[in-house]
Amino acid sequence: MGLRTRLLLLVMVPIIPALVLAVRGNLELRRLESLRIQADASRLAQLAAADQRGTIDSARQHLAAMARLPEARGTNIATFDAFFANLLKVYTDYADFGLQETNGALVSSSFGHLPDPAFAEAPHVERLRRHKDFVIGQLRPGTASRKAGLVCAHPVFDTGGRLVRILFAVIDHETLHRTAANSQLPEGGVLQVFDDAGQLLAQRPPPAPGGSSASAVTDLLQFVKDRPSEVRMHTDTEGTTRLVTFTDIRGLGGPKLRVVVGIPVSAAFQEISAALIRNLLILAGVTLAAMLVARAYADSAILRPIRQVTRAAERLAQGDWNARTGMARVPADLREYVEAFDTMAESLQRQRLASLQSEEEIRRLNSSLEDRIAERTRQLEQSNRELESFSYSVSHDLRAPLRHIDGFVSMLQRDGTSTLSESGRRYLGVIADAAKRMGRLIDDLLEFSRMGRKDLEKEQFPMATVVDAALAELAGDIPPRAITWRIDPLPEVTADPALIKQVWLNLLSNAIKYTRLRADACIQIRCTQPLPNEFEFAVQDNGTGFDMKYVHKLFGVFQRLHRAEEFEGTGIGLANVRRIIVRHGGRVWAESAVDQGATFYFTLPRQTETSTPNVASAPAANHAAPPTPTIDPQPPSYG
Amino acid sequence: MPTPQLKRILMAEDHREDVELTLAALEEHHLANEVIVVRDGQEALDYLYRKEAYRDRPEGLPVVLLLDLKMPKVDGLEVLRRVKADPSLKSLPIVMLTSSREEIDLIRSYALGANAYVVKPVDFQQFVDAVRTLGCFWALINEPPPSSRPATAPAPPPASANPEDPT
Repeated sequence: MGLRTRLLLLVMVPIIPALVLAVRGNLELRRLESLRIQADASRLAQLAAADQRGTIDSARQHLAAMARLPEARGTNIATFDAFFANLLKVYTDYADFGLQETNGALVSSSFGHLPDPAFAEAPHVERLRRHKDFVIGQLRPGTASRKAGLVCAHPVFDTGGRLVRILFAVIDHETLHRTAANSQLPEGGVLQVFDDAGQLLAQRPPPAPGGSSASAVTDLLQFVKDRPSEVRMHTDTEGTTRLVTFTDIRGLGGPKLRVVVGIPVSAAFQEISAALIRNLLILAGVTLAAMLVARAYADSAILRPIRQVTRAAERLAQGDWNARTGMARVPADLREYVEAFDTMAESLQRQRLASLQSEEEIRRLNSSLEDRIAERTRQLEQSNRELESFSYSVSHDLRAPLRHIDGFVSMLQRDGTSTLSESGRRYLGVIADAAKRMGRLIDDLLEFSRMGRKDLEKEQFPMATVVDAALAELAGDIPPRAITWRIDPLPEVTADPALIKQVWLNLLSNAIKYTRLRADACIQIRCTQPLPNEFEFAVQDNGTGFDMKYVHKLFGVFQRLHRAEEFEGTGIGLANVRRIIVRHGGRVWAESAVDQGATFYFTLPRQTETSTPNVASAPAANHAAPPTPTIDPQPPSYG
Repeated sequence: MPTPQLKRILMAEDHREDVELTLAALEEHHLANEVIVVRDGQEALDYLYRKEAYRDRPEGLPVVLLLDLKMPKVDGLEVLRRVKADPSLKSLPIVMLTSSREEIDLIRSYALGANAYVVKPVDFQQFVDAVRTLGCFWALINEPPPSSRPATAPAPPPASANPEDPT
């Protein structure tokens, strides 16, 4: 969740109580409005009741007036029918007038005096007999000629005060409806008047003409009975909600009438709802505004500095050491962060500058180093040239006198032997041998020097083939005697095969030479792999061996551990071995004891390393290699 | 076919001992009627160009020049270079006879047009063998270019010899 979202949620937190308050206030308003409507409804119900009561009261007055007429007590009943018929014409609010005996039998009415047994047993008869005062009865249904209406009855007393007859009037049902319709109800209000039997006496809106009450509002009497005390909300079939209340009309000398009023609340609540919606809209507007402000604030005061820092960091990462946040207006607590970044960038730039200076210094040193190397290389090349010139003179100038010595000695031996003594002839032989030996020494020395300068021509080959070739070459020189050979399986190697063959020739010829005095000569060629990137080869013999205290002389040029009379040789072979192996990046060493045989070891790197050609190809390095200087301090020291 | 006694061998060698040994080896087999010995490169060139001490020598070139590499004044390679660069001399066969076994000398000599390169063995018997072989080849077996014939006894030009390709 982003910082901005969190901030917006935070802004919404105080909005929630305001929302609750608005809704609660509205509910309170709604409740108060309900109470007000209820009070209104009660008042309107009272008013409606009063209207109805007025109608009934006027019936009472009319009946009371008529009841005092002596005719009402008389027996001339025949005149009554006409009287009542006429009366009906005058008082159009009524549906019938008439007289009944105290037992209910009809004496007369506006519609004649035919017996009406149902009417005789109508409740008002009994009620009047009991109360002996004005009473109201129930709704009398209409007939084809006679309209329906509410029965009112008044006693007729004789002079002695005894009840003799019952005078009745039937208030036209439509009159009641009209009264109801005239009541001061608001638009959509309903009013229903019930007698004690639950008969609907009057209603507003009036029933549809001809049909029964097909109004959306059904009989509310039962609805009121089911909810004795609460605020009653009634929703009709058309969805109109009304607050329903009632009042009873009493003191009518009999059962009460119940007036039920329903006031539609939608009109009243509409305003409240509108107010709620208005409040909610305002609230939403305020919330939106607050969120926009918060968002803008988050962007400008928080996110912008952070983004600036991020951008500056990216520029730094891309190597723009001048990158700074460059913000003047930053909130105080972010300022620390921003300034810390700038400080860091400053420090990095300084370090970078310092490192650039160091690099410059290193470059300068490197370049001077290169100069020094070039100078050293030049010196080495110079030495190399001198060395070449040295070998050249050796080859030329040292060999010429030897050739002369040999040549003239030979001619002397051929031509002048007759004049020489025995010892003189021997001296000549010694001179000739010495000259020949020195020629060999010089040849070997030149060969050794050439070996150091020759480029290595490396290739991969099976070591066994080279060993076999060396043994084949040596076979002619081996004196006829038994030598036991033990040769390990040999690996493939990468090296200069001609030079490696030279190594084997030297080592094997040495082994053959120094086992000359052994009847059971045994020479072993072994191969191990002490390191993953290295082969170790060994040539072991059971020959004369040597004293380990002279081992340091072993690989030097012209160094010999045996006298020439014992074992021939110039002392250059092992020096060559070492030079070749060192140039291949390997090592040589030997182990021995006098008369215990000797073992010569050498190693070769397994793969062609990049470091090896450096040793091999750089002429300067070759002449700087340790074996070379042995030429100078070790002048040929043979006897 | 020219007779053997008419052939001359020019030998450029600064060491007196070498000269003596070489002559001894050649004489042993009677291979050279006339061996002219010069002691340095300059003398060799003088002889070939008939200058200085050799101004009055007979005309004609030797059948072969045995040339040492290392000599005072003008060395063997320089003589070789100048002879092979001169159209009138370049047909002269030149055998480098030297103590040097150096590869660089071999390469340079052949690059300049040497006809053979022989290293003088230290062993006298081997030396004698080498010189005898040389003498046999150049004085007897090899047919020299026409310019090698002395003017005093000019031989009829062989029908098959190509003057442009003397060697």
